[in-house]
Amino acid sequence: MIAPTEALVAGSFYTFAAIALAGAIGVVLARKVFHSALFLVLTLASLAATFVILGADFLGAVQIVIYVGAITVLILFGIMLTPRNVELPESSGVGRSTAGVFVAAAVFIVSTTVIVTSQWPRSMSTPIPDRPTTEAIGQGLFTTYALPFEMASILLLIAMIGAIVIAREEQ
Amino acid sequence: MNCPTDNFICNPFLYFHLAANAIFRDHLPEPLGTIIVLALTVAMVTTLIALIVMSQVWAERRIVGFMQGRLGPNRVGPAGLLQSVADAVKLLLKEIIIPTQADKIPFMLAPLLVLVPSLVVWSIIPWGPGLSVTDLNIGVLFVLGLGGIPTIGILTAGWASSNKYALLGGMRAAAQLIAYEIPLVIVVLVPVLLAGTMSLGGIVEAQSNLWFLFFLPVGPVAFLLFLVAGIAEVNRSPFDLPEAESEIVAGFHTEYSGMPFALFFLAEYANSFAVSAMTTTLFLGGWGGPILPPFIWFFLKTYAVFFVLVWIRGTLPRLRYDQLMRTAWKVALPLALVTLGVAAIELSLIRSLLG
Amino acid sequence: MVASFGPIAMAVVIATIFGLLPLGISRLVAPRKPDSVKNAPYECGVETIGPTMIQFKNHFYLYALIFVIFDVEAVFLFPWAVIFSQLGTLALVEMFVFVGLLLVGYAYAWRKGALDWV
Repeated sequence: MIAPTEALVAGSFYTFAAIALAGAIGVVLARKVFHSALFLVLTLASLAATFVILGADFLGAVQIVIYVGAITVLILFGIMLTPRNVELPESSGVGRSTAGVFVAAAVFIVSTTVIVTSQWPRSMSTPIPDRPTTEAIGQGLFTTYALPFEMASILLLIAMIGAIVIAREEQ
Repeated sequence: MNCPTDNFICNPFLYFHLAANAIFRDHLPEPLGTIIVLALTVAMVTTLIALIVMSQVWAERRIVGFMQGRLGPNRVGPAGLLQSVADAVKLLLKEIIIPTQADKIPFMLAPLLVLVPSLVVWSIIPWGPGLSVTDLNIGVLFVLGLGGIPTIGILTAGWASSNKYALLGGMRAAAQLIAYEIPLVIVVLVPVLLAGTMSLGGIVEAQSNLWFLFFLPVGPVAFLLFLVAGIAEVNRSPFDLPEAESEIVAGFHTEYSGMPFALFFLAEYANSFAVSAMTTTLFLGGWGGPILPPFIWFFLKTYAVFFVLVWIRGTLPRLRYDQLMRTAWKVALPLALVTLGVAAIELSLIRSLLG
Repeated sequence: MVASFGPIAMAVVIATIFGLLPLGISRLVAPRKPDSVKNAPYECGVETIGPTMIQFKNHFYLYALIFVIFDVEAVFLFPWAVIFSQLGTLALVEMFVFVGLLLVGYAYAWRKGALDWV
């Protein structure tokens, strides 16, 4: 068993962060939508690893089960059920890319501002507690956050009914 | 049998481990030595699994041959034992045909997406007390996550081949895999609930008195559901519709030849064996058993489950696609939820009765 | 705890090498003689008619959507199952409400024929 020295943890964090970024860039730059989806898998899987490194082991596994295993399949189905001639338009004018850059820059500025100005409960200097998180999550879900937990169920119910209604209408 | 990992009978890898530590760990700076030892250990487990899987291809062909009143492979080596080796060499020497219209990189990536999870899963399945490469406290969930990744590989194979049969096979396979993944995920909660942990080692230890298979009345139902959903997850007969040769040639791997095909094949058997091992771990007490060393018990039980899989293949005809989907969505899913509910109520009752 | 995941990263690397190695060897030793007939899409000897990417039933997509929803539900059940013995009867009731709400959606899907394969 390797002792998680600070250098090793930091090294793996930056490795996976770099992979996630590379995947994200691939998503944007890939010519075919299907390739974008495969790059997205890379990003999502690296994010799972990042979660684990940050001490959120349960969330890491959830990330793999839900995002890598389920959402990706949904996206791939969506792509495969779309006829091929609806590929992304090759280039659609300067106006569109300018708008894209503007929106991306705006989102970047807003999120960076939020991250920098927020008061985080834990700072960089305090180490992450190295213990399993599943039990703590369960305790929270069924005592303090019981109401949001049930609300999640209602949300899922709405999503399911909505999906069926939309799919029915299209037929 | 009480078995410490520093006992040779209990830990067949003891000398390997000691030797690897003596060579690398004592002479190289940390963490380099540890990383090399870890790499060697994982490589050894992976190679061992690949060899076991090859022996299983032979075993399955012999057993199915016997069940169908024919001989099966019996020419290469004693009783045909080397047939799988011959097949592997043959496939290695075959041309890798990549269709002109295929999307080359995803086409070659797809077999890896299917193979890698089926090998990685062996790093967390315990062969004995403390005898796994690593014991994750979220083990069960991680195994389920790994089980979801081949769906992406199969869809990629179907899409990148640019072949109608492959595309149809890929879609079929993916729809089947996701349909059976839900009852699988829910029914796996039964052992987790009974053991109170997601660690595979912890689940085995929780069964030291009573296998979860015999936790009446939910145990047998959960066990059967897990086995059925597991068989469907690895595309084995009678759930082998994604590669139904009478309808869609070979399904998603129609265009695959040579080594890429061999990787799909290896992954399929590694997955079948992993399902057998998970059934053993979750319901049949894992490595637990009297007299014999734990890892022998683990393999005895896993092979027994694998034999049942082969038996089912030799017995049952392939399902029709609408039957397959109906079974998953309208039978397996509600049954899994009911099983889980009954297990939870039963556990509460037992707890309140015992105070 | 983080340390127990290190071997997983190693296993992914080793398994990838394990897959790439035979592919590489095969590239070296296997013949490579492509021709236009051999590299055509397999179609039982006839030439392929029309585009491969045809739009077929969007029922697949509906299945995938329902799958995602149930997967999310099941993931919520895992922490519950792990600490079930530490929680009281209230947790049992909470879980039945949670699953019960989803079963409403399931019944709706069943009624609307979303689960039928047509």
